[in-house]
Amino acid sequence: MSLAPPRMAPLLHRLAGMTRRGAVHATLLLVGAVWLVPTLGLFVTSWRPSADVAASGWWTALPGGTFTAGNYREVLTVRGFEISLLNSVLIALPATLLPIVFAAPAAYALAWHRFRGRRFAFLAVVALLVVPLQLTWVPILKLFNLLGLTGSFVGIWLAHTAFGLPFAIFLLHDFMAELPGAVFESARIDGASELRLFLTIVLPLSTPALASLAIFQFVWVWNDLINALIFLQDRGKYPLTAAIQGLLSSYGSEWHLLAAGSFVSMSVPLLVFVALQRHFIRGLTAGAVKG
Amino acid sequence: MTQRKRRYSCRLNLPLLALLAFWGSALPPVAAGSEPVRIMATWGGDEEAGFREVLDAFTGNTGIRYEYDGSRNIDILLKTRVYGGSPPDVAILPQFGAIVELVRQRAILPLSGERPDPILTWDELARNYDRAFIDLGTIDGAFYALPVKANSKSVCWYRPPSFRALGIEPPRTWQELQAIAEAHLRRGKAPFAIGGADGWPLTDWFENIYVRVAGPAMYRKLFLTHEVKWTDATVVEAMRRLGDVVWPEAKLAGGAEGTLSTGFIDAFNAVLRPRPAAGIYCGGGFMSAFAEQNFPALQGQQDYAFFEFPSIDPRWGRPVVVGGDFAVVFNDRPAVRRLIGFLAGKEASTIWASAERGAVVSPNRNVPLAVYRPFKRLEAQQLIGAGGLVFDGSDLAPSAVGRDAMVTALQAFVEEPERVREYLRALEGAAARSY
Repeated sequence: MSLAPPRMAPLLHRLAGMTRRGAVHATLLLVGAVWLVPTLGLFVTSWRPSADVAASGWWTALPGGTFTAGNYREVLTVRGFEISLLNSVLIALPATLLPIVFAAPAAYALAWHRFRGRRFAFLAVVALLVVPLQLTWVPILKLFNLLGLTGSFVGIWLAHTAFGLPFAIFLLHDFMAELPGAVFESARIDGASELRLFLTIVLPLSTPALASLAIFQFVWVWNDLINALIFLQDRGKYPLTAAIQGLLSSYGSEWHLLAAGSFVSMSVPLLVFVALQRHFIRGLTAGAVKG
Repeated sequence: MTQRKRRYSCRLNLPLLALLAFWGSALPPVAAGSEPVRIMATWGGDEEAGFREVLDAFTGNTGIRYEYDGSRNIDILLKTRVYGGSPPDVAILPQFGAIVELVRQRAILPLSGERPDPILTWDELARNYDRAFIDLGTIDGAFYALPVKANSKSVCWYRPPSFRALGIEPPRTWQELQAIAEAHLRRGKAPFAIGGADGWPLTDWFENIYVRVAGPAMYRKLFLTHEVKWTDATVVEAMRRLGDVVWPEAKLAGGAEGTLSTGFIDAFNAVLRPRPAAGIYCGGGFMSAFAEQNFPALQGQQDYAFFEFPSIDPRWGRPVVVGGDFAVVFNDRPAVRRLIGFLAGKEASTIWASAERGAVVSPNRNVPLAVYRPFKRLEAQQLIGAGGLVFDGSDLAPSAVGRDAMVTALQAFVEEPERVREYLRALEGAAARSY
């Protein structure tokens, strides 16, 4: 990605470069630190007893406050914790894979196949990005009730797939449109079928975009609460987010449990991100520069 | 070109087929045996534990299973599920305005009234509930909303040791309250903490003052029927009294700005914490649960206690502003009928009132006071006492008034009390559009 450094830079030039880089690094560190403060506060709160949380701010606890693992114990032993964790996985994995399975061929076709209505189809997909989710709940629930999908995992997979597709197609389209067309041409001349071309050339070349899409979609589905409550309607099928919410009273006063629960819930997407990080960084710039 | 297109459409079918196969294998098995009763409420944590004690007793008595779903998002969830066609069997709602809306939509069923087989008889209701609750739950001649939980909003929390240090006693009248505020100010302390960032602590203050200034009949006309305008002289008078509390802003912990950026729990904590920022927090009787949770070192009654919201006009004394939760029914099934009958009875109410965690004050007057823990008992006594009950006005009014316009007006009033007539005109405008 980076340009090769000039081989024989004059001393002055190099010094200027270093200061510039230093300034950039300092700014980045500062922004990163500011960005991390709320998370740090949440983390500190998650280890404090509820009485301390009520009595003083988290920043006062850093030098020599009392800490406890009790909040985490309470979260991890909540009624049906394991089941809700399993449910989260059962919901999130298919709901991450399905949009990608549909979006990849759709994005490829929209990017590289000339057919009537292509522009319109793409425009429609982009337009769907701005439809507010809340608008779709009642009609989808009616449809699910009709089809008997309410309360089933299939229903929530389909809902998340539908919500995720516009962005997925949009992102993959922009990435795939930048792929070198000459490669496709030579593959066709060598006699590769469209399916083979898609599977062995387009998909592997699109790995960075697919990985970042997978992360986006996974985090979105993992953190979702309201869709699960609306379409599953059953405690036995609720994901982790709903189980954590169940710890809170109607006044939402249990900050200590909320903080600990957030960290438990956050740990899984964090692992996914770290695992796919290498692809993620490249995927973010997907389509941003001409390759 | 055409060939390529055809192949492309073939490819699309592959994942579709895979999905269909998946679908077939993942369909849930058809539920066998009796259907459970599905109940939605706002409760989680300890509150849920208390309610489950009641529901478990129901299952023990009848063998009918239940599914409880508690969510703080109940407004949006219930609306979506009602419109989407899959409401629960029973929902328990704190907001009376929402219940009236459900009646108008014909989404919920009357429990009592002009029907041959009422779920509850009027006699049953009269045996168990105060007239005020029965009148409240009766909409267009039929009874829809069964009160299952009540709480007093006419209590003010304070720390007896702090009062003793200032040489003051809990007030019984508005003049005494003013004297206490002055005593705080002389020592450089703020008398009041109000969680003005949440709207309802302010509306609770106003409701308590208004019913003491104008009486229960006017109160009903202002909030429920809007026969009294928000520009009425009684409202102006009540606002003047509220001004005694919020002005000058030195009376408020954190000043006007701090009040408007503080939530109700933080405001309550400000009174109880080791170095208190204020002397008095007026609000719900249920706050004792937060005191126990957040300040386990403090002794109830000794270290913190409450006094009843003081009287203003001796004609009206000290009526109690009540908040509550009401059960409403969406589906008429035998199992649902039995649950409602159970919830309305003495047994369920007593279990709930004496629950290990999440005990509530029951609106059922046959619950023996002895089963309550100390603070709850005082609160229950207040509710069945002679003061008279009025229901939380901001919950009675349409939500555009009770949740929005009224809160906006009161928050603005905390900031700039002198522009009160302007705020009341805006509030009246919103009310005129909403009833």
